[in-house]
Amino acid sequence: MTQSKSLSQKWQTLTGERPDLAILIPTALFGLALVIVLSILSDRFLSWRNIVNIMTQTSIYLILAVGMTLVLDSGGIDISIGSIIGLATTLLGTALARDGWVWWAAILLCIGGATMCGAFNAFFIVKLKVPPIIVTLGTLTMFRGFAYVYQEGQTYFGFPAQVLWVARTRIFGQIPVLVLLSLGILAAGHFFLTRTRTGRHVTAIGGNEQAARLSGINVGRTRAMVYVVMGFLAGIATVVNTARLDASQAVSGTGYELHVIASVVVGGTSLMGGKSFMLGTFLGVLILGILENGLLMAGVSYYWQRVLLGFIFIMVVGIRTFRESSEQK
Amino acid sequence: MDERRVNLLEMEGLTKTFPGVTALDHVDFAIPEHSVHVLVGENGAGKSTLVNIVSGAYTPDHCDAYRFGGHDVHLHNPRQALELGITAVQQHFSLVPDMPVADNIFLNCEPRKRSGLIDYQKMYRDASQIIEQLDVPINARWPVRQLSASDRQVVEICKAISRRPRLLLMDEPTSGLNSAEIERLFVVVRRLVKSGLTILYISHRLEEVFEIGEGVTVLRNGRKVAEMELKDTSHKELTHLITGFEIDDWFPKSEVAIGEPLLTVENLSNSNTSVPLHDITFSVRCGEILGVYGILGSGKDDLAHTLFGMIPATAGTISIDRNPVVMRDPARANAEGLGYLTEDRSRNGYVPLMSVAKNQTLVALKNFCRFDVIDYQKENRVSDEYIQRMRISTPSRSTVIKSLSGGNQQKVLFSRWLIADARVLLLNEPTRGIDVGAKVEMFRLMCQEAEQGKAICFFSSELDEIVGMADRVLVMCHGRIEGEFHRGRMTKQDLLVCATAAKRDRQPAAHESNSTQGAQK
Repeated sequence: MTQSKSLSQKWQTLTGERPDLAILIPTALFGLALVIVLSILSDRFLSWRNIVNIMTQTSIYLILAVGMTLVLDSGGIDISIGSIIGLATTLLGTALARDGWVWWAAILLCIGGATMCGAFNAFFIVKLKVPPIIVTLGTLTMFRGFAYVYQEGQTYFGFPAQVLWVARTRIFGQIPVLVLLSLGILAAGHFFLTRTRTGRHVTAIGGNEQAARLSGINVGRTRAMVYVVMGFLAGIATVVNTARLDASQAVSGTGYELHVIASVVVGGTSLMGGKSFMLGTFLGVLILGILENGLLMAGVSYYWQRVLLGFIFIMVVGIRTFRESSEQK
Repeated sequence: MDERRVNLLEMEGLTKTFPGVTALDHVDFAIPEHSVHVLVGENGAGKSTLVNIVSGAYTPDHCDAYRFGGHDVHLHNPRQALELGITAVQQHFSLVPDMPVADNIFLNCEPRKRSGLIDYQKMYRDASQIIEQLDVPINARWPVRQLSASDRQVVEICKAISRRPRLLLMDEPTSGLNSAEIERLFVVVRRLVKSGLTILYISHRLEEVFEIGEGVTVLRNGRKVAEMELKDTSHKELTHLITGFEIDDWFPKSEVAIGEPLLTVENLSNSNTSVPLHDITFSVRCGEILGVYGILGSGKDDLAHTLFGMIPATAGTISIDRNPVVMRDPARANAEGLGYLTEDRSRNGYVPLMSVAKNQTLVALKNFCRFDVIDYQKENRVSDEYIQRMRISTPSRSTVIKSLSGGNQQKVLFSRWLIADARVLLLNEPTRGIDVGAKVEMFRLMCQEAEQGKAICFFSSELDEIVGMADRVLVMCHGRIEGEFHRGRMTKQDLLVCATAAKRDRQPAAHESNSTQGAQK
């Protein structure tokens, strides 16, 4: 008990706030239980090979989840990220394989295009004040449509080694570069949210937009930034994803949005805004990643996994909402 | 003639207590039939408690007798009151804007055909009949959205009388209406009384009370202090009865040397606020506490919002240190040294899930940063300093602000502006929703800041507080400044008379001789 108290104090001096243990502890325990059950069911589960495998598989979700934590923290939502990935990967694939662009220019195009997609969302959300769920529901279809139009039904593959490097190389022969990249982005996201003024402003806007405005915060610019950053991170995730698969398809990224939002919410970030926890997001991504991996090894079909994912998402949000409404009584 | 009049409603020995407050203390209350009976009193005098008991929303703790139409009754819920024929007119924002008038009138009691479907023909016919009865130019098929504020209020009345009541409760029905609209509303009210209805009318505005009412009951601190015919009394006497004479001496007002004008406002107008502001001119000096008094709908809140740039002014100038500034948004107002303590903490004051410290530094966060990176040690140090200085009682600076008491939340928000070094403090209803001890603390802090040479605009609708704390008071009514009063030369009566008696067709109040400076227009 004293141990956990001093830990929580240390945490406090680092972030200025106590972690919400009521969410963190059950989530961590659930994750631990999952690991124990799976390692009993399969002796391959806890092998180094499988751990690296899980980390690799989840790294793309982790990059996206960092952006999504910011979006949810600001009181918004972005369900278009799967389609941004679809559009960005076709930009990358056609530039490299069809148009013969040099690798770095293609990567710039990919990340730049994804960032523009985020800016497009931001324009409608901030300037025209359309609710984020509506804007990104529209762009979910729009960006995917563009991707199919642009790709003309082709699948491109056989990319240059410079592009594949991020997925193929292992530092010390063990840890894939993309895992380090995603952890770096996580650390940057955590630093941004807890230690910077802009990060604090994001949380304030999600917590009480009117209060933020009266405090002189530029609400429009800060909210717009959040969606642009989300687009930018989706661009990076696209490069990593495309390199890992060594293939570019317009269909890629389908359904990622729910997986990412579910991970962030499992990690303790509120869908209502104003409350976020970046390291919890890491935990949430890991738990869903482990679950996916375990179900795959157990031979559960992809479609049943989708059923389960959707159900877990609703359950977690339901439990949180119930807890919050009963607290208010 | 009055002797022969029968009472529709009689209550004896009515008592109602809430935790810590006796809202009503052995009140005898009666409403004569076929008349407009008025209920007046200050905020917290027990008016709304009484109205809620009559409408069945509250059950009294004790009641010797309750008779309605000559029969003993016991009310336990609003439905029973409705069945007896007691209906309240809701405020006009309880209508569904996009529905036609008739649908609004019969919302949830639509006439049905035998098949169970709504009988629209009958509904529109009945609605038109009710509207005709009031002789107002409203079409039952118009959507409510198109109607003016007074017409919406009339629709609310139609809705209430469609339930065929015997007693109609009207609680501040004129708030938000302009003079012509009020006039039209009164025509309708008179017609209703002529048709046999009895009306209980609650209002802050004494002028209206004299215009529409016959009998009056005055409440003060939960007791009935008078019951009489309005024709037997005067404006002055009624004001006296409402306010009483107990001057509470818990205002720690200190004498401060008053310096140069800091905030100067000239010919300020704003047509975008809910109560349009007209031609407002005044200034606040360093070390001065300027009270701005006004009742609901006076434009007091709108003035505060305009000064802070929440709704930018449409005409006139605002100057800081004699330099004109355009307050186009709150960020600009912050930068110019203005601070605004909001009248509604939960709506636009605090960020509920953030800690005390983070709420305190929200405005001044820039001063705690190097290249956008927050220096936590400095932030924590300043936070602790202000928690101590302002005697904020909180388990720690990292406690979530939502879990503090109202008074402590208010102090946290106050310290937010002190940390941001605001020189002009706009305090809008700073004592709303906080307990008495915390109120005294707020007043102490106000004096402390005035001593530091800050200029304080104290917006309040609490007479005692304004009279107790302000060096100078501006009284607002219908978006204009109607009078200026100075400390030691004003009484609660003066202010109330000025705030309520100001002629709606814009005549300057008759007590300007009171003020030495003719600063008001």
